[in-house]
Amino acid sequence: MASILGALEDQPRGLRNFISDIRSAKSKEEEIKRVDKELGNIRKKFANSSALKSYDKKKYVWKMCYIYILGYDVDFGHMEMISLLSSTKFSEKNVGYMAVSLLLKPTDEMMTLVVNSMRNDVLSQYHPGQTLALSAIANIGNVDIGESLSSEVEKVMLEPKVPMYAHSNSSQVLAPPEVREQNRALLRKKSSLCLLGLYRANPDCVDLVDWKVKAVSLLDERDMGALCSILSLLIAVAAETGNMLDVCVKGVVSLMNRLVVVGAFNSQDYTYYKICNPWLQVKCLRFLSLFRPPIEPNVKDSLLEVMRKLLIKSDSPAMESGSKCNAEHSVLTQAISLLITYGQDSFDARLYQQAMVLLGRFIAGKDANIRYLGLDALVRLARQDGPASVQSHQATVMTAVKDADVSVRRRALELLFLMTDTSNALCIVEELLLTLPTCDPSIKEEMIVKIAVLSERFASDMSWYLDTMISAIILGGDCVSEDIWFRIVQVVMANATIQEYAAEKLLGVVQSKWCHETAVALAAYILGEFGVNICEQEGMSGVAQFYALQSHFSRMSLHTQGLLLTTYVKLVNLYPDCKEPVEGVFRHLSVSGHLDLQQRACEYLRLMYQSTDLLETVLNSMPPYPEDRQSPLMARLQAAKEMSSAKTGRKGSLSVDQIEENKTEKIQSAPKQTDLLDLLSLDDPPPPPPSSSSLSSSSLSLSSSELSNTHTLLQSLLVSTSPGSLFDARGMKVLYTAEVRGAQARVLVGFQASGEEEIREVKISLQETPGLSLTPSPALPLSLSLSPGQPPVRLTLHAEILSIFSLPTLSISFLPPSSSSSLSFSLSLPLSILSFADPVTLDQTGFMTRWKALEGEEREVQEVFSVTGQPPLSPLSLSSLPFLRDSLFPPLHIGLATDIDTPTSATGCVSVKTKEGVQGALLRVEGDVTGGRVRVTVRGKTGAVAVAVKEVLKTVLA
Amino acid sequence: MIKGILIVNNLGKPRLVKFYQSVISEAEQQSVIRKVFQQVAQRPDSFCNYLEGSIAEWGDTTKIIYRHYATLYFVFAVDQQESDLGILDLIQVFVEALDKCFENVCELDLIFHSDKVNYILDEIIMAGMVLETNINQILLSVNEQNKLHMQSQKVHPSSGSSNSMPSTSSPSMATAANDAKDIANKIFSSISSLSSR
Repeated sequence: MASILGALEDQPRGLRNFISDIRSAKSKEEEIKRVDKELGNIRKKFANSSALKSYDKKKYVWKMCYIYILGYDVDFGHMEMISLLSSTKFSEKNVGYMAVSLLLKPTDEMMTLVVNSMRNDVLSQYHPGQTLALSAIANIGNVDIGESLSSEVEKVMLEPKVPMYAHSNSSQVLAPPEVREQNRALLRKKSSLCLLGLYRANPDCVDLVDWKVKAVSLLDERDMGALCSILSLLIAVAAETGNMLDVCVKGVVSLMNRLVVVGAFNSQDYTYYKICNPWLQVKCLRFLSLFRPPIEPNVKDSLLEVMRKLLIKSDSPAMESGSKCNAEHSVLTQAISLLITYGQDSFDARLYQQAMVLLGRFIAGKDANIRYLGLDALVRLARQDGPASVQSHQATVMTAVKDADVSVRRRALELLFLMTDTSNALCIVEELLLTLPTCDPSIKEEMIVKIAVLSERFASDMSWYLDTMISAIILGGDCVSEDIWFRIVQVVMANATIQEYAAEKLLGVVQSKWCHETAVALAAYILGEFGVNICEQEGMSGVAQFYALQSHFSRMSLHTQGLLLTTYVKLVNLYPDCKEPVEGVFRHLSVSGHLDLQQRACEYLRLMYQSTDLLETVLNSMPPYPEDRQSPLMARLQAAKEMSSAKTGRKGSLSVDQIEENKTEKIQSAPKQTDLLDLLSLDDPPPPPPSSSSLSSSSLSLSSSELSNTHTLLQSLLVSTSPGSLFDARGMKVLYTAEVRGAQARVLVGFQASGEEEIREVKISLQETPGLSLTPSPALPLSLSLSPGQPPVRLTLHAEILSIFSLPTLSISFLPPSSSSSLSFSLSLPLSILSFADPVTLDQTGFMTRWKALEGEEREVQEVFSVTGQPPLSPLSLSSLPFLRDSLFPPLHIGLATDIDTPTSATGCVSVKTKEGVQGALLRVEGDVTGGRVRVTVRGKTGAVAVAVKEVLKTVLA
Repeated sequence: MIKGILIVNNLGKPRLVKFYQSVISEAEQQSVIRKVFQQVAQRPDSFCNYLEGSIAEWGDTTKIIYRHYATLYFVFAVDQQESDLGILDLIQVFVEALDKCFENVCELDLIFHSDKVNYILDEIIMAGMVLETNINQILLSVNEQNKLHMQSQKVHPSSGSSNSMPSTSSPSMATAANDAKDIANKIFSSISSLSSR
């Protein structure tokens, strides 16, 4: 077969050399330079194109095509292309058509010239020219070209005229009949597809008046290749015109019968892995699925025979794998799909049962493709016949939801969603919730939406709904979209019976230390409206509600902070004893740098001192939502569904595309928001500062409760984007904020007197941190005193990472109020190597390969320790590690390893760019739920990076 | 219909790009290629060959059907009108056709003979519609076209093309090609060892 392309070997040398040059380009810049040079050269040559030889013209047009394929814009030389197009030489015509269909846009002005040239070619008796033109028309295939050329194309399709003679330019040699037959078939094949292309672009351009007759006559075609194309055309027309083509059903059934049962087409040519033209069979079955089952007895019998043969042939338990299996299954799945469309009763019940059995076998099988297609078919079935039709497969589908492959998982989730009704909702929602922590982020959001819809639709008991949703919010973390909690609010507003329960439950949620933003926002709204129902209960007073919400305030986004402020003013209206603390918050924020917060704070502050009547009117509880208000979630699902049922519709697809886009954007931007989050450490008390003469020998030290208080402060700073305090004891406060840009960071540390008294003899110095360059401004050591009520004294540190380092430490000493001896201590700054790290996301194989590559004692460190800290981290439970994965890894810049985690493990990967090069580390945290301990294993490119990462993790967890 | 065909190598370099619908501008096309590669490359071969709605430019209903042979991914983007497994088979036919034409086709063949690859593809798919599935017919058409080329060059010997054609034994090209062939992996050593899915 090599000789087939032998003659094409002789491409122009210039083209070959050009391609070689491009390939050997060492950088993108070099490539661009070469391309620009070439384009310049071609432009110059084309400026005087009449002098160009045919060979050169072809060569340059080829180069333009190649450059275009490389992704560069090529927008000149149209005249040269058209002159090649209208040439009588095949080699030139060919290049011309290739270039025109590749480089010319439908809107180009030259199109009319091209159209004329094409019309001439289509109607000519020059066979190669006809086929080239047909291909090009189909490729360009826009509305304009359809209007000008569709009747010509249809004419060629109905009566393909083939020249009598072997060569267009000699009338001596008659072409042999088999060649003429072949040419005829080819012409019909191309013209019918071409017409299909034009029909799809604009159905009006084809006149369908006599099409019943035409279609039936087209089915008399004997050539299998041409038949395949004709059926494609008929399917498209039938899909648009309803029942007009039902006269063809008979013909298609008999064609199927000849293909499958009789084996009348025994030409070896179209046999693919022992199956006679599977593509044609699939097309026939698809055509039939557009019509009702045949009623005429002989047609029905004929089809029954076909279907039995198809379904029973595949009944052999051990289907071969590989391409044969593929081809067989392609026909089989189409046949099953036809039976599903026909339904259980209107065709043949026994075959239908057989199809169900086969589908069950498909989805339980080993081959991922078959599993996927089986689920796909079941989804179609469930859409058509309702949940009961597929419920027998529930257990298999449940396992498929956990499949490693996201395509299979998506289908399974969709199917699970469709098969849910009141009988199995409880069990399915429960199962989905259990899957949630470990499921892939790409489908998590969809999963949560589905959980929300199902639990609402099938809730027998509203408190169950609420419990489910709150768990979903807690487990879902950032993947919970706003719609979800908006809908919960709507539901709670509409159901007076659960309002008290909702308030109680959500108060419990926000009273824990760790709580996702969505939960806080939801709690804020619900407590603002219905908190009054529970304020009599112990520990749930208005003030308690306020403090529970306020404890999360600092780490919320601006949007949620605004929401919290509104809730606070509602609380003031209800409980007089909230007035004082709330006023404090408002006063503090009335000088906030954020316009919205400042405005709210100022306005609410004024509102608080208006007459009680006004306050009550303004802050009256919200009216219930109108009954007919549609759930935003349902709207979203419907939008997606409408999309999938829409056949074309570029316009409609935009909205869903945008949702899709927003989703990705959100996922990508999530870690960015937390860029400033950092690690704090007190676990590793750095060595005491070098004793200096200024320190009195009788220096005090921090008590253990103060240390642990500081620890708590640091932990809340951990998950905060806003500045936070790093130390607050004995009348002094240290504030911290940092901003990391690439390998550099700007750290601001503020010192302030928190009490009423002046703090004297404050001395600050910096301990040496190997691997990190720190430039303080003003220069250290620093001696100062802090007056009460003054803004904090700032210390700026410019940091740059050089190699692996441990946390930098400040040595601080000061004279606490009413004390004669000074207190000195070391304060670790929350700037770790992970602050400079980039997350690396890996899949299972990628992770395992790298993990194995880093084997070796010196590269691995491991440590087991007990977890302390706030829920859900401690006490260690099943939700701790997913929480670690989803909520703590991103701020620590640890990328997730997907598809590898069990509920009790969290796995990730991180890379740190230092001056010495990039250092990667892989890490795995495994939890021992009963023992309350975790095992952290880190493998790094060097031992140093492994140890450093492990220490950081230990700091977070222990 | 088929919305687009990409052949991308293991490093994400496109080797054949064919957009039949929906994606017009170069920038969009480049972004599609990148996205397709990112999605496809992270899927181990044991996963199914389908990906749904993951390329925004192609819309939600477009399915990506791909196969991985040695250094190359053959990616087809299709709408719901096409048979899922039928397209997989079609990819196989395409690769077999390439293999017959180039004798153990490898990535370099696609680079140095992008024109031929396009010719072969045009005999299989026309404007996003399946034209021919029979490998013999495909090869016949390619051969036919080849003859026409020969004829049109014989009839006009004065066009100067024959004199300036490089002979295949031209030393620089031959060594370059040989070197490169050594480095490149064969897409497959024999047709029987084709990826079995």
